[in-house]
Amino acid sequence: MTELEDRIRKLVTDVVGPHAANHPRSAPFSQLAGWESLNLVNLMIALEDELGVGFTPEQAGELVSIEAIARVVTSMGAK
Amino acid sequence: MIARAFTGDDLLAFARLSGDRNPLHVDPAAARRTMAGEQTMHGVLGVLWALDVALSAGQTLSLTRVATTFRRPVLAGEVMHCPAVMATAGATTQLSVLAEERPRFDVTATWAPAHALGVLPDSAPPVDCRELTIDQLVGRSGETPLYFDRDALARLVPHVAAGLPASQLAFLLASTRVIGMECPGLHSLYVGFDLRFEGESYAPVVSWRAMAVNQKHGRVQVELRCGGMTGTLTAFVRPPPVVQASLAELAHLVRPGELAGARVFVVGGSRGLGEISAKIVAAAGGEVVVTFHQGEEDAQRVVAEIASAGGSARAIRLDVVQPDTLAALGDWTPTTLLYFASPRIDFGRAGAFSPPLFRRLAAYYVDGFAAVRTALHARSATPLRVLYASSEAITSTEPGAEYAAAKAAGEVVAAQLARAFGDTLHAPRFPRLRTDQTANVLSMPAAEPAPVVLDALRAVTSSR
Repeated sequence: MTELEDRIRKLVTDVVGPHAANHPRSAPFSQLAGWESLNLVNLMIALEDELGVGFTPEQAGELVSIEAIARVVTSMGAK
Repeated sequence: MIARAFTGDDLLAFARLSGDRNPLHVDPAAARRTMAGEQTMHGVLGVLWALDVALSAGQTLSLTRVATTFRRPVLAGEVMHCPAVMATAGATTQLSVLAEERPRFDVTATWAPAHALGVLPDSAPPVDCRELTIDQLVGRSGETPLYFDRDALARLVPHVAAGLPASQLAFLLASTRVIGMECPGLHSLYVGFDLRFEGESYAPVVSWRAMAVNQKHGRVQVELRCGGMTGTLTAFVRPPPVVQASLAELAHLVRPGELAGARVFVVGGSRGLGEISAKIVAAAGGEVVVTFHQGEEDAQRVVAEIASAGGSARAIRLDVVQPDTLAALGDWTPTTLLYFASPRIDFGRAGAFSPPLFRRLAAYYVDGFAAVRTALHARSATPLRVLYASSEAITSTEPGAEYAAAKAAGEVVAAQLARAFGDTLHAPRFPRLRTDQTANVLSMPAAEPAPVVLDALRAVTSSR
């Protein structure tokens, strides 16, 4: 787990709840209890605020796991 | 677990006493065109019910804090389940309310000893439901009076009405009125609040102010104040009902007279793909009969648009899940059947399969189609050209096995009936298309439906 993934995990936990703290990095968020599409929007807002990035609608569809988010964010050149 | 469902009439009563008359909660025909797809319970009513469960021993308490996250809407008539908890002064209760085994909202409430229940005005003049975009919320602020009808609330949640101070309940009610009617108003999606109560002071009006407006994603946070009561409310501006292409725009896509002589029966023609199909057929010279279930106003709008362009169209009511001989068609016999009838589309949890959800979807995609095609055959044995609107979801890896299975089963039934009746069948698996059912706050890409629908229409009307 990289530092970026740690930051992403914390934001996921803030948005979804404490039960997300141990969610595997490569497991889809849809497997989280209570995951709904609104969680993704709130997560995107939190990520954009925290990491200073701006996701396109197409990238939104790729934000399916902690690992995937880290990959997308890294490709955007964010740290 | 304690169970409860609030009916449509309960929601009307709550709308009157709270002042939140947003059509999502009180108008089934309008609600069907929202993201929720059906009449939806006020989130605050659900929270009040959870608090009611906690006060069901008849305690009289007050709140120092109540916070909630609304995760998924609860529909009118949908049964909620809440753990049986007991509120006591000084304690914090945390509840997660479920419906159909899915979390709907969480409530965290911190309790304190009772203070004066108080009396407030029991009503105020109704306010208009504002239709605002996210950009229009920037800097928006206002006031709403603090009022509370204890008797009216007691008919819905008696323990809360008797056990909490009027000012605190009125503040809760004001929050749903602000979100549902003022900011964001008509297209609001209330997703959570955090209310705090210090002391017993309150004012005759609640002041509110849009604090943080995220214009990219449509989210707003609203600050609420009333004496010692403060709160932060969070809501999204959800997409409005999708406006499909006009007949004039669609006419440019077809050749004049391309479908002259076609008599096309569009099942589910009041909006979305059915609406577009009806207009394309009319623009191409065909006769159209569209069906509606709840969307009579929408269907008549489609008919009027076609008629004003010189086309031939009428609308009949049809509930595909109820037996119907299609007597409303009279002597009119179609040459072509376009089947777009659909319930509210819902996707189940990943890694699970919900038989009740599958059955609800299959009632339209399988049973309903079979009933309509069979009823048409009983009226005339002449084979038809049939378009059965299927979906790419059948081969998708996304959650939603119930929807995919129902569409796949519909394809099988459509094919079997086509062989039995001699029909020419086209069952395209449509991609994600821009309709009310695909609109969401995520702004996921969705293709324009007109070219896709036109290709499908041409395939079914020209194939041998």
